[in-house]
Amino acid sequence: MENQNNLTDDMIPYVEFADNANERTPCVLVLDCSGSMRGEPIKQLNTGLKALEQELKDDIDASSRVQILIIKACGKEDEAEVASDWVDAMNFTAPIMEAGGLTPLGKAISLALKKIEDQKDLYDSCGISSKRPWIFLVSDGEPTDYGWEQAAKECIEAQQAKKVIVHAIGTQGANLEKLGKFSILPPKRLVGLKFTEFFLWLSRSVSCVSKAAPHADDLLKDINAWGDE
Amino acid sequence: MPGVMNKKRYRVVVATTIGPYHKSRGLKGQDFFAYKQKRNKLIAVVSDGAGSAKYGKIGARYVCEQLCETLINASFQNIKQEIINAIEGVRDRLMVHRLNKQKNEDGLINFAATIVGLVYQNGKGVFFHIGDGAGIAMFENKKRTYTISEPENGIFSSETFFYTMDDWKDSLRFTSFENADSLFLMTDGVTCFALKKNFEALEKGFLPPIDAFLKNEKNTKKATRALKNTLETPKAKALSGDDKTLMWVKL
Repeated sequence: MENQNNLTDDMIPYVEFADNANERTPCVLVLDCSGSMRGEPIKQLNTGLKALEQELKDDIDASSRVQILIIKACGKEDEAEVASDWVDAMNFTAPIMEAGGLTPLGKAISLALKKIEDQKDLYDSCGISSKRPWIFLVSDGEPTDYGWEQAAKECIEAQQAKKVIVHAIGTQGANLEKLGKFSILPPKRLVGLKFTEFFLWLSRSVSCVSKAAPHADDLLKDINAWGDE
Repeated sequence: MPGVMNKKRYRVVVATTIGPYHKSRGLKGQDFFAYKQKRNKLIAVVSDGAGSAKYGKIGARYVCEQLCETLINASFQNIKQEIINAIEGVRDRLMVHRLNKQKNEDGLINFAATIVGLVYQNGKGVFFHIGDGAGIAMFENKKRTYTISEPENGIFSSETFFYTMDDWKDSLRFTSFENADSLFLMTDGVTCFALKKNFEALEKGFLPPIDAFLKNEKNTKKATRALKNTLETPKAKALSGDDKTLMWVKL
């Protein structure tokens, strides 16, 4: 009887919690799949993407809150194309990437910004709130397409307008100076071919952000598992 | 922080909890609240210090305490200008705060915090508001109507406005009301399940039962504990990882 009284005293009865938390955290991977990625690098990249898929699906919160888009920069015509369109992490299947061609990072980043803008319009029209999108630009070289500098400039402007957060990641041999032109943040170096470590870190980071309180501190500080800068 | 049921005219019950995001990292909560009453006037403020700001908690505490101290002696006739002046006074003090190394407006960003406040006197009240969180005036009538001072976010949900911004006056909003029966002030950790998604209406299952319970529960400790426990249920934590502060006032 005493316990019952305590329970009644300790809680406010009839309170219900509406689940309005359908918020999304959009995440875009812009991946360099140029000819120089042939062999072990593209194999490790695909293994890493598979690990990302599994890790996100195993995370109850991230699987429903994080949305993924993958854009690949490759091809003889300096093309950028969508390898995997926007999808909730729970439904994400890692695409199998193939290497070949040049490195049109300018076109790829422009496509990423356009897709983000379209997705934000969709969120707004559906009454879905969202966190600021992330773009991870991963390359083993440097941009080769005509006009990439203009694309990089527009990318910087989008960051300054707080529309997106861009992280540039270069593997060994990548031109970090040029990759750094795409981001207001310092570029990071991926050690060896630690794509799996990188994507596992990415999954945990994006999951953390999807659950974080507003105005939380920068969550992307500890990159020891895959980076050295 | 314990809530207090005031012995003067207006009954106030308030609870604040540290969200799981801060708790899991061993961090302090960033929310703060204060209220003050004198004769028939009540001033109350809740504030959410920005987690990204080095001294967000100090900014939240400062604005709550200073606004209560200043506005309790302000004229209600000209209350909107009095509120603007009071916020300017808080900013001026922060510019010379010992932790503001720059000693100018640029250093204020380190104290970033929101404001949800109210001034009430003789049946008339006004919410003043910068950023997210919400203020709600409940009216005792058959339809159980209410007035909401809504949250304001940036283009993304995790971004909002602070009194420390250069253009803070553009974000300052006033919502007037008369003859309310009870009031709520809350930080954004509570709004996601207290209000519907568009923030224009109440979720019927949350604030109305709390309002009814607190009106009937005259014991201060029980009322405060029940409110705090309600904000700490697993469901509340799962829905929002943020700190949560909810203040209730019976007029």
